[in-house]
Amino acid sequence: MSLVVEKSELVVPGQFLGKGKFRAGYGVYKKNDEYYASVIGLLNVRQNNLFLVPLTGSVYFPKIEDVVIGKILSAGMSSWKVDIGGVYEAILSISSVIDRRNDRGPRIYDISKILNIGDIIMARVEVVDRTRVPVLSMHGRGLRKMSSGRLITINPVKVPRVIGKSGSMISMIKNETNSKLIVGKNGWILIYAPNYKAEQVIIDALQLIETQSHVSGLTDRIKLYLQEKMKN
Amino acid sequence: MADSSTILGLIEKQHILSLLKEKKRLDGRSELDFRPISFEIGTIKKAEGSAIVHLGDTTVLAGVKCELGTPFKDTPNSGVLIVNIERSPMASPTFRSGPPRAEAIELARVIDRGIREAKVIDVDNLCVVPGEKVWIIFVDIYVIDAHGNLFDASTLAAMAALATTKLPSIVIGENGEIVIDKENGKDLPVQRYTSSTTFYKLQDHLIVDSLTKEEYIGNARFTIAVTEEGNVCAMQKGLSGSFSKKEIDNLIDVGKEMSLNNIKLVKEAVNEYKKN
Amino acid sequence: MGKNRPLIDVNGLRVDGRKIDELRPLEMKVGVIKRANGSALVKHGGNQILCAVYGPREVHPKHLALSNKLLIRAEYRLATFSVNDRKSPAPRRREHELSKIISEALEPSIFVERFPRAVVDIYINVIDADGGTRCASITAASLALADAGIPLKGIVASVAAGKVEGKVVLDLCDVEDKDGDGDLPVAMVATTKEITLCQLDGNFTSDEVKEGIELAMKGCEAVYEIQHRTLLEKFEHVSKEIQKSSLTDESKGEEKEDSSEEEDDDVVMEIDESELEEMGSKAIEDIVSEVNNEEEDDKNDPEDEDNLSDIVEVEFETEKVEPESDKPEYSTKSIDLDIVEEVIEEDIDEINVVTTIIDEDEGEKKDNPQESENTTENLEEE
Repeated sequence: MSLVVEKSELVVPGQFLGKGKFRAGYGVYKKNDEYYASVIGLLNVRQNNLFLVPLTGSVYFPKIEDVVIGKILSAGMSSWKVDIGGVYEAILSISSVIDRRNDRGPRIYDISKILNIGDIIMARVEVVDRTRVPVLSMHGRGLRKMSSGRLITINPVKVPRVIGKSGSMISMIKNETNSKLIVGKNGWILIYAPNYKAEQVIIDALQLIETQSHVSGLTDRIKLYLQEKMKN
Repeated sequence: MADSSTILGLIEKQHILSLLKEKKRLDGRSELDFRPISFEIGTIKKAEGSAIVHLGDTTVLAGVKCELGTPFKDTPNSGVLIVNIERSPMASPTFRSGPPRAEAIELARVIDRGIREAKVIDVDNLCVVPGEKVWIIFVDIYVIDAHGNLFDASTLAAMAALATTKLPSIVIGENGEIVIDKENGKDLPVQRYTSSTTFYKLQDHLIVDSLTKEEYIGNARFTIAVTEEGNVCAMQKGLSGSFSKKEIDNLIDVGKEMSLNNIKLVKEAVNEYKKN
Repeated sequence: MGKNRPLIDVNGLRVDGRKIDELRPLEMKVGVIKRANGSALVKHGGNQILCAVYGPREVHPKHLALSNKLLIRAEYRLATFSVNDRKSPAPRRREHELSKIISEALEPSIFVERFPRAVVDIYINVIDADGGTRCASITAASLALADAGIPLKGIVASVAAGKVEGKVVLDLCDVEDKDGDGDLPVAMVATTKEITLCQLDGNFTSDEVKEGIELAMKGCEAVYEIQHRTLLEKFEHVSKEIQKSSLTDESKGEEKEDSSEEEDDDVVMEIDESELEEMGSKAIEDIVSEVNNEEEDDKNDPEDEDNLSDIVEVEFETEKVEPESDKPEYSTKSIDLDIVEEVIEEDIDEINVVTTIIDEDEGEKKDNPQESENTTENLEEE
């Protein structure tokens, strides 16, 4: 079992990583006993799992139980199509929105009266089916239709950094700017700031986090940045 | 990824409007601010003239080709200017390849009008053989990265490209045939500069140099093109909303000022290029 | 043929001063078009090629989608001003043919099974042409695909060999292309040496063809060096920063964590309903009950004579729409916003972005001999 590339080294697609008995994780593929990179990224190994931290690409890959922010693209007879920034449009069906237990008999719904094209929602990824289409649900507390705020998107890969260990980064941002933020696992973020300045400061800070996500002590740096910008 | 770029959420629209109430836009500008403009001139070797314009993130490339052709019947001794624009699918997930849609055609014709009516080049001076052979000046504009305000970015690019175009020389061959020599050219004479300013009306707010999202919720659009002498050479009201006379008077005044400022920027860039 | 001067002079140098096996100057850049998912600009000799990649995304129109794999759709266009005589913007047959062969030169390098029914659109625009545009286009497109983060088996590099005055040469320039004896464009997955594009037009002996392909493959390796360097240059600083900081942290024996952070146990980030209300949002149950109320009102409208609505009205009456006080119980589990599942690890962010699906795929690929990776292994090497 041997790697020819160092941890955190930058690799490009097709680059040979090593031989042995690893488990090929994200960004790694296997040919015979040899492992190669499939995306541009930094090599990492955890136990037996060989994977890359990608440096390119901003497509979101849905996982079950992810809470995401999405936009209604179209309304069908009994389901909506939702953009969540993934490869495939997600599906939200009427049964994942209403509670059938309290409903009896047929309904004539124009479901676009409930959620219309362009509406922004918070939903949960219930399942990613075999055809890769993510299926969403709005059953559950906190899953709502959003009616205000500034919507921005970041690379979903950066979401954990924006939230921080135990929510440290995001709580800090909220406190320093007296704002509310919701971060979807898909990298879509809703900012609810008391004024325009705070909103711009948050957007700039998020961009900083995106470009400097690899730097240590980032939470402190961002805190200083926010304090500086929020002065006067 | 799924493309919902053409669908603007209701809260996105509300947010843009609430920001405007505070006289702010999505990128921090105020209503009548242009984004930073920069030029890269003469980078296309095969073209007789070329210019890339960066208007904020919007990037547009204009290339000029000079070919010999037959004149129009009603102007047998005049050259021809043809302005065309391609909204390349490279530039936005919402652009498709194929024959241009009405919006693309309108865009091309408005830009063409500005340059033609300003008489940037003197087509009467482009005759080679009266009634038979004249210069056809093709200005082809390609949108490379679309982030709003394609009108003004395109006019800027076309202007910079024309002002740095080298008209090929004419060589008479042994058998009297006319051959163009693109290796040796002289500056295409430019009579004056022009530039445009495009406004969008979002509910009752008027903004300049629009972003893509702002263009989706605008109900009316107004473009004014102006010559360096301050004369209006083209105007176009677009989209299905309306303006009051007072608003238009205001747009004419503000638009003229801003366009004159843009002309200054193009001239600076052209002079900078010519120095080197 | 009307050549004015020899294409290869007495010193073995070509019209532009190059040796037989020398490449024209190459310059590359990625990330040049912000709106696209990936993009690249390649300057090869006098060629300037722009490429933008969009995807993977759903296919529109839907009937073009492939049920079991990703559709690779390249579009090659010459700008009107990119050639000597202005060309009409409408694509000609050559552009359509090149679009197809470019798609086919890139597809073998892409893990197409990962995204069935989706498409990757590759838009190529030649803004300055100088011979060998299809090769430079493939070079640019492969970089743009990598820039878009699309999973690739390897990067594709491309260059043409040719025949000039009886000699097999590398990387024809415009003059050689027009006045020479033949053109042999080749593309290859740089790291596996699989040939994905191979065309010929001209007059070669079969030995010259084999020699030409060899030479082109060597040229592709040289092109790949530059592609590789371009990608490294763009992202190197990130890698260096991380390596630097992990070294420091290790020497200090610390976790690479902000020292100011409290040692929180896994407190799930909660946003309570009232905070969400303040942000301006509506629980879906409330929306549904509102809609139901409206519909009930509509149905009570005496002008409504639709029989069907009468039936519905009856149903409404027996049932009364959900009273506000009686919020339906869903799960009592406090889902709220279980946004933080990941804990930031010591040195670099473990970004477990990709779904179990992808991991499953890797597992499947190991086991299933039908899958493409194993197929690649089974291919005979040239």
